[in-house]
Amino acid sequence: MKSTIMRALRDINDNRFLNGVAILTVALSVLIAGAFLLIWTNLNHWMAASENNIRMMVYLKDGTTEAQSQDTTYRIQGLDVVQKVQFISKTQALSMLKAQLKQQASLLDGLGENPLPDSLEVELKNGAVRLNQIEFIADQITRMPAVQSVEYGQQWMERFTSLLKLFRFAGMILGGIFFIASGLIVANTARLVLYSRRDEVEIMRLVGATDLFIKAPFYIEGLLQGASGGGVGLFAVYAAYLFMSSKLTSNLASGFWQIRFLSIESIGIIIGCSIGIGLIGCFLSMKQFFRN
Amino acid sequence: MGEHRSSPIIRMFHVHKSYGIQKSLEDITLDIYRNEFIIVTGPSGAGKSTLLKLLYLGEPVTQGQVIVDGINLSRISRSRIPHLRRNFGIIFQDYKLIPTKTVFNNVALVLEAMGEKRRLIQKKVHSVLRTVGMEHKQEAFPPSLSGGEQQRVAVARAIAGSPRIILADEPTGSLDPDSAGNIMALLKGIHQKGVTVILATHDRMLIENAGGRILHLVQGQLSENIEDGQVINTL
Repeated sequence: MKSTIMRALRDINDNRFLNGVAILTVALSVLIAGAFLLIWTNLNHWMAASENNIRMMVYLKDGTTEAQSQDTTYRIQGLDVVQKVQFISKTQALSMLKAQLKQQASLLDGLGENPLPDSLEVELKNGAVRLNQIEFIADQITRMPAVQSVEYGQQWMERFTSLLKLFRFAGMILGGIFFIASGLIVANTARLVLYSRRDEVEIMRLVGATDLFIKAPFYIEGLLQGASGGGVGLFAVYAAYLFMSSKLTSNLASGFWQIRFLSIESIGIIIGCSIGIGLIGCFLSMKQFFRN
Repeated sequence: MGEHRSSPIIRMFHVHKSYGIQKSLEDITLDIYRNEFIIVTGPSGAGKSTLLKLLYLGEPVTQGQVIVDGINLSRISRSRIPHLRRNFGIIFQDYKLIPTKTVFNNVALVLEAMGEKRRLIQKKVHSVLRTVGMEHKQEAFPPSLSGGEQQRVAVARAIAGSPRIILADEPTGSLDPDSAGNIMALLKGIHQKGVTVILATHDRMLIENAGGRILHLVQGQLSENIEDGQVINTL
């Protein structure tokens, strides 16, 4: 085994350029797939965090009596997923709006009548509901007699979900294309090395070397190309992550959204895929070479 | 017939070999016994190299049977071919040394392929390089050696795995008379240690001085089978 590894390392040194190209291609694939995975992971994380803090505003119809609004409050509170319901009268709503507008609050002075409706602020239980289930709950509340409308940022959530899907799809397609391309380049590298050493391979066969003895160093080369390419690519993703996270941290003062790096599992899968690409590339070229 | 004839190490029965419509060997039937020194001779294109190639499965036979040490080559599985080849030490006219490996590593390759341990490889390689007089050049690369030296390294590689049969295909074809004499002396020495030697050559000087049995091929057919000057089989 030791001598096989030594032979593989000697071969890599003898074919530095070809091996360098193969490693760079794998690294580029990992960089692209890793970048998409990083963005997708963070968006997903953000969405999961949002699910822990879901609030809805239920606007009541004009002229709703206190009894009706109390009845609505009880009915909403009766839903399994609801944590808390708070009644906000139209007067309270106006003073809250004024407080938010600060200096511009005088703009509201011109209003003769308070245009805001009575409302209920509904807080859902943490983790009890996924974003895609909210629509169903909102629908249930909307059908209550005293309810005018329910608002929970529908459009924003729909766009966010679509964006997430798009990222996952684009990442899978681009990552897939680049992984296939790098597999072919690794295969081509192994083929070029094999052809440059076909006399040596022929001599090895004549002296009684088994196919395994001849092929083993090439597989080790493929494995090392894949692993090195994976490592270099991940390092590039990490560098990009550090850069982006320093930029975002300074921009998002509240620290509301902390960027996180890929999980150990994701890193393991990426390295595993890179090694797999290296080995499959070698297998393909070896199969063709030894068939001829 | 001598007493050594009791056990043939190679048997060929009605062997034919063609490349497309071109016939290279026709109806060859012969036995080669353990520790024989065989010279396969004949003009260029007579089929000498092809006959040797059939023995180590460098080429498959078109028709007929070849048996090496009891193994029928037409029934051998692909995975057993490397093991079959370890019965042979093969010497080529163009040496077939790996130019990017040192003399030591070229010879060691045979033993590495057999899965021998590093320490045994070191010992054995030094021993065979000493036998062929190339111990002092073990760190040299083949392109820096003369033709005669390269062929001595090839002989060392051929005997490193202690094969039972040496196949030498025109081993002196590219050498000056002195170097050719050295190679022949080495082959004779190997034969005296009990190894079967099959030498393909059309060098008349070598044939006259070699002794042993002569198989004469003409246009792919065995025209004469001569032992000690006596024809024992003709067309």
